[in-house]
Amino acid sequence: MSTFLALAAIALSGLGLASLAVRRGPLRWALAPLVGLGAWSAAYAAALFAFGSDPAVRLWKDAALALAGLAVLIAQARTARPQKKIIFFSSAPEEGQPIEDRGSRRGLWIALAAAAVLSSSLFVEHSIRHPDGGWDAWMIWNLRARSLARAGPAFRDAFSPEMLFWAHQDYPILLPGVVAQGFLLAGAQPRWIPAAVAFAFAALAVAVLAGALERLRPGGSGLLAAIALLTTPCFVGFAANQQSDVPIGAFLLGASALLALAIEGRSPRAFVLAGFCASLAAWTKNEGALCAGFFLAALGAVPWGPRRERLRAVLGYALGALPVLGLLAWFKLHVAHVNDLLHDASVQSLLDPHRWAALAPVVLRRLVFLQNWSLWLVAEVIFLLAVLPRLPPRPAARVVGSSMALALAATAVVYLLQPYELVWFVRASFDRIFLQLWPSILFATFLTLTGPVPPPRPP
Amino acid sequence: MTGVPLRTAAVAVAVLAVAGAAREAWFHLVSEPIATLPGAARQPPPESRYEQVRLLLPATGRIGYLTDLPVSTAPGAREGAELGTWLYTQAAYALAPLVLVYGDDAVEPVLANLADPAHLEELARRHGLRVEARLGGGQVALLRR
Repeated sequence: MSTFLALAAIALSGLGLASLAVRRGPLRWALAPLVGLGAWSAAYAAALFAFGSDPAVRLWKDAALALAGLAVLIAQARTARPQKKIIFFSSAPEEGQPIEDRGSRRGLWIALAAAAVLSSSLFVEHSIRHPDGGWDAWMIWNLRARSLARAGPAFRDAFSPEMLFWAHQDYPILLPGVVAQGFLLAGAQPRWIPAAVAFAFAALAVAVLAGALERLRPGGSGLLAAIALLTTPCFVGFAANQQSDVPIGAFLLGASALLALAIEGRSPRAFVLAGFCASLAAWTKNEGALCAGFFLAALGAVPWGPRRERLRAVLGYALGALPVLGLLAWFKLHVAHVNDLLHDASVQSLLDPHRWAALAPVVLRRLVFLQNWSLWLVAEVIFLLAVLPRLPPRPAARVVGSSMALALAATAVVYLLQPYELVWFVRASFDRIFLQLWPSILFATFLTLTGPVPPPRPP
Repeated sequence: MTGVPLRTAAVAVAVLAVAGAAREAWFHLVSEPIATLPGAARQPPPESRYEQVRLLLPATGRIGYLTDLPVSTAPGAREGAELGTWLYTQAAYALAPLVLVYGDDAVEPVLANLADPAHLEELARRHGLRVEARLGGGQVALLRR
């Protein structure tokens, strides 16, 4: 019963939320489980901190989520009118020809299926070899999930400042919240649950990327981008490591896709859901809060529409982000403890030319770190330098791209401020942090290659 | 130029994807030889080290934690090979939700987690504790005042 109710809560709340922005098509079905899982976990944390760990609290929470999702779906069905095809604005006929012929499309699907089968097989291989995931998974994420699932009324021990700081008690708990609820439903802590959650987030990242691009740039972009993500070597490894980098990447991608949909489709409700998705990224990992802020800044600053429209978009986005950001703020003020990266931070580190000189080569080295990235980052740099300047501006891609650029700049600042030995720390973390942004960067890249679909000509 | 034909993009993606997939497969099948997978699957989980002591510990709450290895306890300062830090985090993961209070011999009971069992008596004496239970070949022990 409780498992059925939990599945209903994820499915109905996700479908209800996704339907606010996307009424039909593959993107809706890809976004729904992603935002459903996020809402399920955020609601779990809110209910846990507000009402305690009694199983009845979780049952009521799941029932409320399922009913709320169902109510939204019923309301939408009642008010459903024959939907106008979204007309994306386009200033000129575009050169980026879609792949229309059936044989080529079939070839793309076969390539995507091959990449998916290979990636899934390698995920399983890595999960068998490392069933507890990578270092961060059992030191932080699965540790927290176990603590929450096992502790009962003593759940606050999961955030005890008496544990060594390696447990990162200040990290938000979207991923542990999903895994802990899986443990509680199973009545035990089997290792396949965090592995299955990790697989689900990776698969949803691929599905949202493909679905969003196929909606905004029909003709093969989505399939190509999905193949690119699946064949980025570190994607599968980091997903199987059960860390939070792939889940946060999925939520950032969800926010990017919804922002693009809102801007190109002039869909105000998509801004609200984009804010919600970005706030789920913030509830997944600290970096997500920065990215959520950068989306907001780019939405207001990039001239994608009249100023009044941009202001409305900023307000809608902020409204969507507010509930989960409120939860995050409460968590940071009442539960979390000092962040080790900003422990003893000083402006001097930021202005020290020696630290900049040490940072630059180690970051440049990551661009050609074939073990994790193969040639994908080299190709991205070539695209940015040689192709992008020759293409017309695409406002939606600019908003997403600017946000990603700001996130990378902020990462550099954090690297300079953090207290560890710089080169060791960058080597240990850069690839994971870049992977958080990589799905959104791929999305912005493929969004830029071709323009929006021109309006259909009247018969 | 107003766009890139997707056929051109598809060719580029195909080349990059083959290189990426080959790198992925190389790592997962050759660098970590696939033939060793059945052996890796049969390895006992790291937390099996704590199975016996777990039965003697409370389900929740705080316990002391001592070790014979250096542990990194403050952000920024790292202690050599980090085996001591790794053992602490491994124990915390295995014994969750217990809070392991590092270096505290006043919180009872105290878990001793050792690289070398020969260090146990000396560690207990130094902290004024007695050995209540010696488990896992002496690498894990329960100490009390």
